[in-house]
Order: sequence, then structure tokens, then C-alpha cells
Amino acid sequence: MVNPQTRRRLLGVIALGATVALTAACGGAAAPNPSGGSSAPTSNFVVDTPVPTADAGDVVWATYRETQTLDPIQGFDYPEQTADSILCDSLLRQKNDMSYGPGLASYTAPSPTEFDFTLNTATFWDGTPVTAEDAVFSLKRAADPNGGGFYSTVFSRVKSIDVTGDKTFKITLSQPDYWLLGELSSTPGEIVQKKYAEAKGKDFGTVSGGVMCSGPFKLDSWQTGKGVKMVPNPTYWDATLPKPKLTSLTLIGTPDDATLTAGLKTGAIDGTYAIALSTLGQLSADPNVKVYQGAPFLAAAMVISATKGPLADPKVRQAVSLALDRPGIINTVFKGAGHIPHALQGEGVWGTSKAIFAAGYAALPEMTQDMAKAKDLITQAGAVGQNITIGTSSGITSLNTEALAFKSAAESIGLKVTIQNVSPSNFINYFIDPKAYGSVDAFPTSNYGDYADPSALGKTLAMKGGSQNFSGWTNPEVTAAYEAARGEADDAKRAADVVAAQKIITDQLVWVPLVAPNNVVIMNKKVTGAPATFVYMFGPWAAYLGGTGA
Amino acid sequence: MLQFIAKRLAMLVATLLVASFAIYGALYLAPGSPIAALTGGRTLPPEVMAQIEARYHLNEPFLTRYWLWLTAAIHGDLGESIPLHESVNTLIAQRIGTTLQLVLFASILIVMFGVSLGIIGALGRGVVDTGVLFASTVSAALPAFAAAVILQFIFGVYLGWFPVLGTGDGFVDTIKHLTLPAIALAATSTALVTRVTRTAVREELDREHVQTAVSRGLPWSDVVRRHVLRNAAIPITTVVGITIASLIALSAVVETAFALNGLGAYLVQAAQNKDFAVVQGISLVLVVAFVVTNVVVDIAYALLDPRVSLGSRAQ
Repeated sequence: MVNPQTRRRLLGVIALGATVALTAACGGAAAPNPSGGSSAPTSNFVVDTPVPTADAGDVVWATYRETQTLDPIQGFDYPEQTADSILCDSLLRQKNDMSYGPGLASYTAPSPTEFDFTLNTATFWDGTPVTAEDAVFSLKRAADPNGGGFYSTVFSRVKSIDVTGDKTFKITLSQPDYWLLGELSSTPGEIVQKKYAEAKGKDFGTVSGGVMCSGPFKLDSWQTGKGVKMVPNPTYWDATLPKPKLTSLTLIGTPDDATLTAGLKTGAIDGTYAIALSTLGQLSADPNVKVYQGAPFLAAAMVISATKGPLADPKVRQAVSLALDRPGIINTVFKGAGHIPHALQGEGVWGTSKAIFAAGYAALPEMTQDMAKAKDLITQAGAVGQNITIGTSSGITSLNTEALAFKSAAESIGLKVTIQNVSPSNFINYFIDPKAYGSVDAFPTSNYGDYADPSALGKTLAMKGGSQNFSGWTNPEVTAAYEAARGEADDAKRAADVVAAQKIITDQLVWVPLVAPNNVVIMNKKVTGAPATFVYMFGPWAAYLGGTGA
Repeated sequence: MLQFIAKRLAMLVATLLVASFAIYGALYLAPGSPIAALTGGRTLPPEVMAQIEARYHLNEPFLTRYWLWLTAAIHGDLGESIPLHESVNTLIAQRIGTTLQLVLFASILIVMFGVSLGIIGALGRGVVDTGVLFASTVSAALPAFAAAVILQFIFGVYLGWFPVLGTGDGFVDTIKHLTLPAIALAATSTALVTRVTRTAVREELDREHVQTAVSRGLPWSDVVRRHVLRNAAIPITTVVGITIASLIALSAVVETAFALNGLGAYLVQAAQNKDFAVVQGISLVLVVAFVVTNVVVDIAYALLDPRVSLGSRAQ
């Protein structure tokens, strides 16, 4: 059960969120989403935090570890993406409400297999214009399977990328691919200067090499252990974004929860985006600290890797899911900052056509506990007394707690559970080594896709050959729906296809959703403005940052 | 003297060679992959994975990789960090200052408080001694990670006297930033030094020559200074030396807690990431520091006690 105190705190935050949305609208910040998402039944989450009124001076922002590279094609985790998203502009832009539209460029689609891009009049930090030459170079670099980047498979349907003018270029596809646009609004679409990248060679993006981009912040200095220091770009091309009200922004790595907490309380750290932070309750109660909760983007779930045995049977997965104590996980792991899910990912991933996604999500049942139905299902499946193996690492507390909750749910309906406990550094093997994921039936994950759309994650687990399809699960209707979505130009129709696939994936519990964790942003009272959504990974989030004058 | 130093240098090289092989081997056998450090555990498509493994020579056999590292290291190139693509020499240079400052600060605290409290405890019996014993017991029972959190919350968050993290700029600011970390780092060791000093001084006080000196009516201060402390100095130097040498490794915990960019915290992080070159580089620095500290202690023996010649251990 959610305890009353947590519930009060949550309500408090939500009420505050409403006020914030109001003030933000009055203050002329990002306009509310036009597709009417704000009237959807679950939209009580914060998008924009209060608009800054004063200069914040030197701002220190914490990530869970220090930034290791600034090269966008290797930006694949929180610290790197938090930095890259404000240094380098993507071709298209994710807005604070996670919808995406024109960014550094806008596009037209003269045919289903062609995108014509036109770049805005933008300049790199060194004052030189951003040209089609730079854009094509950056995309080809990201698409090159031998280029050392992590996103080459995103470009699998790209046949050619060609400069067609000083500011224009064309992407030609082998098959229609509207998912590519989502990717181009995210890290894979970030544009770097060709001249600089070529001159730096393999040092590009490193501490000594740095980067040259066109974003709202420019790199000032970077020393490992001391953080990435960025300053507002005085000649930023896009006047529609607010000017950051601060002198500098330094991203530092703070792996320790206690250090982070002490830092936020004293103002040594001005803010952070936190995931499953153990001290969230303490920080929420501190008058010097503000906590905002945005729409859930992450999927906290159990990956099902079973190809045989009880968990390969959807009935058994449904039974375990019905037996799960999800409020317990929300309280212990997320300190109340989460919701009982209806599907793998919640409203944070509804980038476009929010109303369609909202209706599709609401039509799926909330995953509340129902022991009677669970026991009924497991008996029907004839799985009582059978054995399942769960992979976990007791060294990763939050994931381990989730795995243990799954274990007790399974045991409560008569399954026998073996735990396979590995070291934290070996936990990665469940995601990359066929022997490791083949040796267990399920393991916990905190997962997300590259942009705001349920299919960005869904395609990795529910399509043949998907990078996270560990059980080899396929379904002709899901495949057809996803293929249709990928080739569909119309946002609404594409969303409808994704919703159709989401229904089957959720009914069948390809992965078992555990919690929809809220997107938590924590700021010291001196600082405000950071959006409370997952945009900090993909869009120019820090442009909204500034001081409160406190 | 020259012969002594040459002998010690040869020992140092041998130690480094053995240690580097052992560490490389241990890290090779340890679970995990450096790629996980790049991706935060997110899944990469297998073709991308294979390409990255080839790029960082992660597929080469162990001895080949060690040999590649060793030959480069002999030429002064300690290699490159996998996630940071940065030379290990640079990475160590950026961090060694913080660790040295922290260790120096903590060492001063240990010598100052450890030795003086030990002497006070030994000389002043009764309440004073009980007080010293009690304080050193509490301090000894306080591991650095616990001390760090407690100090941070009392003196940083509630009283606001000291900053809770970072290193600061300039002399005064640096001292301010490093005070809590140095206390946290010094706590346990100070207790150890206090206890050893107290026992050593007590032992000397009970010796016959001290009793004789006292009965002959020599001034108490002269007796303590010349007969007690001088003789007690050998065990005290030993324990201070060992303690300080171990501080560099211990500093990892404190550096992590106070978000200092030192070598210790970085070593832990690099070991978790299986960042071979960085782990090797920092380990070698630690080995050198340990050996050098021991040489200094040996020289100190010879200076303190004319009966001890260089190279032979004090009994």
C-alpha cells in the first residue's frame, strides 16, 4: 500500500505542478502541447519548472558518474547525453513536452523514401556557418558501422545521404522509415563541424580533443574528475529558445547518494536528474531543495528471456504479473516517485499524437494485484510447482529489490524460484551474452528508447532480431503493426499502429512491466527552470535553466 | 648509502614488474567488460559490439595484451583509458595533486594528534589517560566511509562550516575543502598511532635506565625527552610510516564520499570499468609511493638510532 505520507507528498508535488504549468504558460515558456495531451486523464505531471528570474551564476549539475566522451555518436548513457543534448543541436528537436519538430533543420518528404532537409541559418561556436556538408558528414559518421559509434543500426534503411546545396541535403531510403525522424531528433541526429572532427581525428570528443557544435551551450573546459564546464553560447542561432540565465554550467559525476544529497542540501550541487534515489524522501522534505516529478519515460520491467519452461507461457507471465506487489516496489525502490503501469512505458514517451497514445494506454488495465485471478491462471497453465530462474545482482540494490519482488510474486502462486546472483559488473552479460541470458528466465531492467515513442523501445524487444529480443518472441500482428508504423507518414496513423502493437505486447507480457518511474528533477532553491521530462537526454534542456534570486 | 639506494631501486623495479603482472591478470580474470562503462549497461546490437571489441583489442589473448602494455610502459607511455580516450599519464597528472594534498594533510593530523595524544596518555595517568583511551577507541571504530558521511552531515550540512564536496581553488579554499576529508581519512590511523605511541612511551618509562635517571634526580622533562621519547621513536616511526603509506590506497573511500578528483577514487572507478591502462598506471604509482615511504622510514631509523645501520631493520 502507498503510505499516507508518501501519498500526501505526491499530491503536493502534483498540485505544485499545476501551478507551475500555469506560471510557465503566463511566463511565455514552451507552449503546452497542441495535440491536446494536457487534457488526457493522467497528465498531472510537471513539464516546465518555474521560469528563472535571476542569474544563477556558476551552476553545478550532477550526473551519476562523470562524463566520458562528448562525441555524440558515442553518447549512449545519462552523463554523455545530458551534456551532448545542450552542446550539439539535433537536426530535429525534442521539446520539453517530448513532442518533436524542426530543430537545426526542417524537412519535407517528396516521396516515401526521400527526406529533403533544409538547415537553419546557424553557426558553430567558432562563428562559421553550419552547412549541409557538416550535416551529411555527421550523419554518415554516425551511420558508419566501423566509425566507432553506437547508432549505426539506426540508419539501416538509409541508402544514401547527399549534399544538394549549401544548406540542403537529401536522405534516400531503401524503404520508407519514419522512425528515422525520431532518431534524428535525438542523439544520432546531432550535428558536429566536419572540419573540426576531421582535424581532431580519433581525439574528437575526448578531454583533449573536445567538440565543435552549434548548441545553446559551448564547451568551456573539461578536466576529468572536475567536470565538463559549459558556458552559454552568446551567438546562438535560435531566438525561440530562452537565453540561459547563468554564467556557467558544470556537469560533475557524483556516484554516491550521500554525497549527492549533502551537495543538494548545501547548494554545492545545484541540481540533478535522479533515478531511484534512496534519499528522495529526505530531499523532498528539505526547504532548501525542490523536487519535481515529470512524466515517466523509463521502463522498470522484468525482461523475459525464457524460451521454454513456465515463463515462456504467456498465462504464467500474466499470473506472476497479477501477483506482483507493485506499490511495494514504488515505495521501496522509487520512494513513492512512480506509478502502477498499464504498459511498458508511461506517458513520458508519447511524443506525438498524445491523445491517441493516452487513449491506447488508458484502454489497457492498470496492473493492480489480483491474487485470486493469478492463482486461477497459474492452475490453468498447470505450472504450479515448476521452477523458474531469475538473474540478478545483489550489488545493484534497486534492480535486485525488483527481482526479489518478482520472486515473491512467483512463489506466492506456487512457482519455485532459483536466484542466479552475479556481480554488478557481470550483470551486463544478461544483456549481451547469449549464454548468460539463456541461463535465466527473467532479469530486471531499467530501460528506454532513443526518443519519445513507445516503439523506440518496443522494436528492440518485440521484433525479430531486435537488440533486446532475448526470448526470440515474435508475433505476426505486432510485426505488421510496427512495419506499418515505420512506413507511415501520418503521425496519428503511426501512433494508432504503435498502440495496436503495444496492446499485444502488453497482453502477452513480452516483458513484465513493474513500475512507471516518474522523471525526477531535483534543484537547490537557488536554481530553477530545468524541464521535468526526459528531454534532458535528447533536447536543449539547460537553455531553460537559471536562478531564483534566493 | 649509494649501495643502499641502488639495492632499493632494484627491489622497486622487481616489485613493479610483479605487481603489474598480478594486477593485469586479476583484472583480466575479473568479470565485466569495459564496454559496459561506455553504454551504461544498455544493449548494443551485436555487430556494433563486435566492432568495438576489435577496436580496443579486447579479443586479443592475455599475454599479448600484457606485453603490448609493458613494452609501451617501459617507454614511458602508460597507455590510454578506454572510455575517456585519454592518455593515462595525463589522467594521473590531473589527479595526483589532490591525493597528495589530502594524504599530506591527513599525515600531519595523524602525526600531530596521534603522537601527542599518545604521549599525553602515557605521561598523564588517570582521567587524562582514560580520556585518550576512550577517544582513540571511538576513533578506531570509525571507518573512513562512516566518518565521511557523519562529518559531512554535521559540519557540512547542519553547521555549514565546511564545503561538502570538491577541492576548491587557492591555498585557503583548498584547506577548507580538504579539512573534512583529511579528518575522515586520519581518524582510524590517528587512533592506531595514539595507541602505539602510548604503549611505546609507557614501556620506556618502565625501563631501568629511566628509573635510574629519575632516581638520580634528573629533571623530568630531560628524562622524557632524552631517554623516553628518543627510544620510543623507533616503533612510532614504524607505525607512522606504514600508516601514511597505506593512506593513498585508503583515500579512495574518502575521495568518493567528498567527490574529490583524486587517484584513489579513480582507481576504484577504473577497476569497476575494467579500464586496464588506468588501473595499471595508478597501481604503479601506489607501489612506488609505498616503497619510497618505506625507504624514508629506513633512513629515519638510522638518523634516530645510531645503532641501526642503513638497510637493516630496527628490532
